[in-house]
Amino acid sequence: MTTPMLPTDDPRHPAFLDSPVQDALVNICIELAAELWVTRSRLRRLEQLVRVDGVAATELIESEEDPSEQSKRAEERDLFARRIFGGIAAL
Amino acid sequence: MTTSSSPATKSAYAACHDDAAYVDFMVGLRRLALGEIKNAAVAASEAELARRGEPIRDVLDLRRLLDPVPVIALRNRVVRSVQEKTWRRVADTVHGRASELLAEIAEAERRGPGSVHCDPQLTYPEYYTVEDIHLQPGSYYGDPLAGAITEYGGNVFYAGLNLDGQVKQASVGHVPLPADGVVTRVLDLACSIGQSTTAFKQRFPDARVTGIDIAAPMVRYAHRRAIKLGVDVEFRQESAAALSFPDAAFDLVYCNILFHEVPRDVAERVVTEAHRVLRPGGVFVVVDFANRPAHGPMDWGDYHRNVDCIYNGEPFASAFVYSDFTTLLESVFPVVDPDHHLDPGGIRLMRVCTR
Ligand SMILES: C[S@@+](CC[C@H](N)C(=O)[O-])C[C@H]1O[C@@H](n2cnc3c(N)ncnc32)[C@H](O)[C@@H]1O
Repeated sequence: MTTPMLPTDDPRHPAFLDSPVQDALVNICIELAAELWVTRSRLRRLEQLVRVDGVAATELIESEEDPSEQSKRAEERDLFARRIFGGIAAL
Repeated sequence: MTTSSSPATKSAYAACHDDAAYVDFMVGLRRLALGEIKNAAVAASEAELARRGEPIRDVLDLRRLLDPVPVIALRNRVVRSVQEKTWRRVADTVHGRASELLAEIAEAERRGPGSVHCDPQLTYPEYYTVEDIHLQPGSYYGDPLAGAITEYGGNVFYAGLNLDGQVKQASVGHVPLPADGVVTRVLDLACSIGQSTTAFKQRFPDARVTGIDIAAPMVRYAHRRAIKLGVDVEFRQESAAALSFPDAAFDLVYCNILFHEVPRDVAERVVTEAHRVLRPGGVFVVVDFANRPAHGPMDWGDYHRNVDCIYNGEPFASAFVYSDFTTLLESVFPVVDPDHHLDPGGIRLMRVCTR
């Protein structure tokens, strides 16, 4: 007795969702999440290891940034958002 | 679910931090899939079945009913993706350490404690090569580093709880002794990387413990692993369906999760061989899935089994689950305890046969 299968079952190229696009998108999301976790784990490890004048990087990250850095960061943030979601406006 | 640890640095298995962290993420996602997501899928399946009213007796009708349910469809997708991505990264990182690992395996082969013996004449049977079991690339035999890949990837499969073989060790802890209490010779059938085999030696330090598996990369890696643990066990590459040992040579024969991976005729030969190599009063202990009624009212368990067989490289598990395996054991052994112990997840059942 072999495993009963539906005519649509394809063990090599599974399609669980409504369209192959959806299956591919979930795969991409999992890949991104995994890589994000890798980056977080790496960063956390770095923060544990790095000290400046005896203060751990983990603490330094929480300290106040000077105002010029803050405005540079704000510019970068806006650019970042536009790079990723700017395409919406072009629809 | 019991907590598993999440290593921040590279583990003993990965080539670098990033590989270890990637695989560790898959442990986390699999824990979610086997926990909350599974619970939601089971609840959805119960709701669908209740809405339908009439019981379902054909697994394909069940598939047609449950496949489109969003949480179930997405659960199937996630489980498959985790499996594929885990094996890919595990194989990559193990291959990244290939020269070091292969040298260790070769070096271990020449020394003890314990020993390993491979059979260059052995050809793998046809059933064994039809599919990559559990989607593992190259299955148990096709990659010289299959042992390391099985050990590291298998831990993800066990949701992070088996890195040092703890799941296998727990099962071995439930194995009952023969009535006379004598355990001097133990045989572990289809021992894979020897996690149960070493657990037997740790439980019965005075016994002579042998593990056999049909795959050369498994027994080679098993020996290297046993040496690292300092455990004195013997490994041999041979088929459980045609053992090299004389009659009545063992007090205890153990077989953990082989039977659902082989066709029925092979299972029959393995049971007969286990009986032959046991001494009178010896026990044959089998851990594997419970059987289900073939045409009983079906539920999530039947759905999961079907999807898992098709999408997780289990060509024979469906036939096994809907078979009368206990009857097979009873046809060979005079005394069979069909449900000696059920593991906490309710998946693996221990059956005990006395010769
Ligand atoms: C799921 S693993 C077993 C796990 C192992 N018993 C443990 O407790 O860790 C299945 C094993 O069965 C082996 N196998 C399959 N057919 C076999 C046969 N005819 N004889 C011996 N081993 C076999 C495979 O090579 C694989 O290593």
